Amino acid sequence: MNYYVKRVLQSLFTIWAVLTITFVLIRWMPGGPLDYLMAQFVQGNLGPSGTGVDTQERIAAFERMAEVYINFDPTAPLYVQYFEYVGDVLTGNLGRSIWYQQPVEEVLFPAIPWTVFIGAVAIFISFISRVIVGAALAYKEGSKLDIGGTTLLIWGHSIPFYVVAILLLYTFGYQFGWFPVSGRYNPDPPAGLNWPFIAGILHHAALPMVALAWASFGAGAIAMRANAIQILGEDYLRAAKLRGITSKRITLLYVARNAILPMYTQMLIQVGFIFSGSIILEMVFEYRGVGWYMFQAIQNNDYPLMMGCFLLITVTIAIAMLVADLTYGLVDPRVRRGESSESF
Amino acid sequence: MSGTTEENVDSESPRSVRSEGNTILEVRDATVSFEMERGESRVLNGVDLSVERDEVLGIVGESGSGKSMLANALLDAVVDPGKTSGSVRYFPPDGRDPIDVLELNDDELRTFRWEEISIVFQGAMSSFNPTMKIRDHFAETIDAHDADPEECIERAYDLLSELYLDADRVLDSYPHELSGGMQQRTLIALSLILEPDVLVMDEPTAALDLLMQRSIISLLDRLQREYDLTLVFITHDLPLVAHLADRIAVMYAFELAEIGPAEEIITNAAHPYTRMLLGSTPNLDAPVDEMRVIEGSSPDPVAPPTGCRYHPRCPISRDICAESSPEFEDVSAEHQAACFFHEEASDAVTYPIGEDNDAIETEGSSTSSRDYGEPILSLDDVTVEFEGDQSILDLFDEPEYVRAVDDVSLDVHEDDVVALVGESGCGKTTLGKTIIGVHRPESGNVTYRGQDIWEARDSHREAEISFSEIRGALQMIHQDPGSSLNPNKRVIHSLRKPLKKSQPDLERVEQERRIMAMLEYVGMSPPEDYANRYPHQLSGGEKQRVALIRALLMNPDVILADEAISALDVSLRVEMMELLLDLQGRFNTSFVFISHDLSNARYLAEKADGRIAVMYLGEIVEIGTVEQIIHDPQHPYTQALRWATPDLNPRNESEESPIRAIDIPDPKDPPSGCRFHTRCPEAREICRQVHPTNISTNGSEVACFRADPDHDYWDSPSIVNEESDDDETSMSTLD
Ligand code: SF4
Ligand code: SF4
Repeated sequence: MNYYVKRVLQSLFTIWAVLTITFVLIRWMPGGPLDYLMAQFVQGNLGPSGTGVDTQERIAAFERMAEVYINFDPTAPLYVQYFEYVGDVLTGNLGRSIWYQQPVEEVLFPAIPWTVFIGAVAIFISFISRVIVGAALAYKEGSKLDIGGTTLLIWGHSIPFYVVAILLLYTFGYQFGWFPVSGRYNPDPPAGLNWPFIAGILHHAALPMVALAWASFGAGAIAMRANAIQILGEDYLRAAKLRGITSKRITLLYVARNAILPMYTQMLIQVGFIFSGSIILEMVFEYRGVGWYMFQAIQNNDYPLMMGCFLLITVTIAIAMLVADLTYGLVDPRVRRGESSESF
Repeated sequence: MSGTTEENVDSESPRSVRSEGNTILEVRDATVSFEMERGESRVLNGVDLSVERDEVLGIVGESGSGKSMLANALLDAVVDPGKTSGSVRYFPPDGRDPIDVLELNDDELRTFRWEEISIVFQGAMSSFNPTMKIRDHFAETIDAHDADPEECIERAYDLLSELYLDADRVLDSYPHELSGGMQQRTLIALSLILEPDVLVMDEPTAALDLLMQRSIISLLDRLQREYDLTLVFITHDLPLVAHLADRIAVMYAFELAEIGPAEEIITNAAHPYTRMLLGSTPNLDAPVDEMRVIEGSSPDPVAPPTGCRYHPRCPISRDICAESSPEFEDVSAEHQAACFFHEEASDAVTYPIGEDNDAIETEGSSTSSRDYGEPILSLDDVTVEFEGDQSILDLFDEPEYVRAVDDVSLDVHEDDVVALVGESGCGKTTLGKTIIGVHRPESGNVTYRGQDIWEARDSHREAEISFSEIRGALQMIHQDPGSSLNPNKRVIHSLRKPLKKSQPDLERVEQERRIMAMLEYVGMSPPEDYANRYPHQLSGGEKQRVALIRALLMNPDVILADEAISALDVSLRVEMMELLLDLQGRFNTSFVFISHDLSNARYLAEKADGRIAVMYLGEIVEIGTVEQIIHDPQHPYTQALRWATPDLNPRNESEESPIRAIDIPDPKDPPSGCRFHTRCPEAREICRQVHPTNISTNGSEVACFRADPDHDYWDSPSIVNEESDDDETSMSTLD
């Protein structure tokens, strides 16, 4: 079969598998969503309560509740439950958050842009800086700068980014008070396209962005350095110099481009992990993005919300991987997919 | 294109008439040195050399002889931190003042290179930026030299078509989309784009198939005359330049050993080293018994031998040779050799080409078709396919399949040698791997002693001979032995593993004893020393031996040697083949030997009384004994390979190329009928339509209609002259 068709089908299969797994988890996990819902219900936290309600009515009410919160009616035949669930999720209905008493999508979707904003800018910053730092070290290979820089990078890379996040927060947030320690924007200026409001957003996002950029910077800069060193030793570089090509052109079109292209896939994978990576980060900075809600959902046993986050995370990863695979051959002419590496 | 019909790669009669005393490059005392921890490494030592205008100078030497350094020094292009001293003077043809190349500053060098002298390196693939189209390589070069873009691009088109390339297609390709031979020709065009007077070529064809090498040599010959080029051609392969070069310089140990007119060097070399080199070159014309092995190894650039650098290996050295170094002495007016006793060399070191070796008979040693018993391995109508490349742009196309091996049948017997030869992409490696059960065929059977290999694998226990037993009996050594040895493990460790597998209950002491014995046997002594080395502490030839021992310790019936000697230096090849033959006799092992080089194949097959199988686009087109394949080839393709194999006999003046197209057709879409019809000089209409099946002619099998005197072929009209209107066969659109 055609490699690309195969690859698309594979991704669809992954997404389907994830859906099915969430369904199984919701349905049968001991102490899982269904049990939890039942317990809430029995305790009278949800649904009609009081003594005036008879059992029949309570059961009927429970079925309705289940339908609302977890998208299917646990008393219907299994396949009906399954199709109901899958159908609802595919049409964007992710159930109802127990904690917020709102549909999951209404809780989650407004949070997405915030997380994407932080993630995208962080990836961008990290990408640019690792290209520059990596290339600079490669050009100075073997010098004191290179040895010191590489050591620092390896050392820095071994610090987990949440430690960095906490340190940043402690130093610049609490000690110096230069940056806010929680939240997404300033409440005072009216929301909208005005500078004070936007400045507030940037102010709040700065520390999380730096912390997140840190997460991929060290390893990325080391990889860039290695790529660039390899290319600096290539014969075609020497051949180009002999042909009289200017060093500016060689740096840009030969070294930089060829060293950056292999990092493309890696960057797309980072994009894929934008939501899963946000959980700890947004918890530390109390930044109300997808990660923060996910964390809250875990704390509050808000299963419908949790499942919504879980779906969002996996689908993003599957799509990013797919895009990486499908487009890499176009971005980097050296690579053609489906290629057999056999020499024959 | 540009009126090139089938008369393609030809080369004309001798080129003895050349303008005399017209030096274009003068090298004096050229020395290149690198500072190393253990001292100064002189990789070029005081070379004096003049290059005449419009000549072809071949510089020959083994790897590590300094020949590449000399090439680089001509353009002051030695890589950092190497230091070049001495002088290189360039005399421009238009009477400008001579240029001291080593004195030029960076800017001057930038214009000097490519406009006056340009260079082509060995690996074409690594000379192009992989993420840039070929057109941009041309454009940036033109731009960097402020040349007239229109005129230059026009020249690019001319050059490319001259080299039998479809210019538009090539220019719009990325480097990796071209085959190795196409890349190398493109690189030659790129180096000539600014009309330099001198072209230095550093092993330009070493990575290519012989047929391609030979075709490129023929093209160069023509380009050289057409563009009034001076060519400096550097190679390790003396026979390759023998016909192209006007003069040949031989390097040994970073110095020139001998220089003189090509014909004189070949027929009457004066330096003992040159004579040894000529004698050790596998050669189709010379009787195999007269080839010999050069003893010893090339010297170390940090501490070269005193006196004559060749004295530790020289068979006629005397005391004086170790004390003082010989100057160049005239052998004849234009022929100099750096040897005190060059007059004695011709008697002391003989080689089979030369005046007194006029008629070389071909001994009929292998005419007797031997009596083969039951085959060990037998292939029956085997077909192997691969999925071709794809891009997202062909999203909705079915992937294309490449039939790497198409319907091949072959038997390998006890104590047999089968040499598979053919161009790269012909499927010989795939066939080899299928023979030893590494590739599973799409259809057809591979049987080992009567047991179907893949059935054995699928049915596990029920098989008479288990799959793992079969795999143990079929071993392989690779072209690059380094890649098959674990770099972090000592030799002894790599060797103990197969022994544990084949004889699990062997005591450790006994294991070691055997390994040591094997190391000793292949000439790696003291074995204890070698056993404890890591792969990087071994030379290429030594690694290959370790790989060979490792395969042998499995006690195999068949060993597949995939281009196992191609990476070795010429002087080591014969030695390695001798070793293979020796082991074959001693351990009763059969070899399947893959090579693109007919003379290596012939050497092995003839000595072992084996067979040669010629492959083309997935099929065996001819198989037979050495006698049949080498001395009486039936298939036109075998004849072409025969033509492409360099020989040293200067009287065999290279005739016209027998093939009509240089490049091999796309294996994804092989030509209809006889697959060779697009290149075959004898193709007729019927060849385009009907696929020839194997025809047996006294022992050999040939897949060509010409082997059958009563075939319809003889009544069919020729298609050799109709290229221009038939796209599929036209030279210019080949790929
Ligand atoms: S000078 Fe002596 S050692 Fe050197 S090649 Fe001549 S005979 Fe041999
Ligand atoms: S069958 Fe025809 S095309 Fe094929 S090799 Fe023979 S003559 Fe040439």
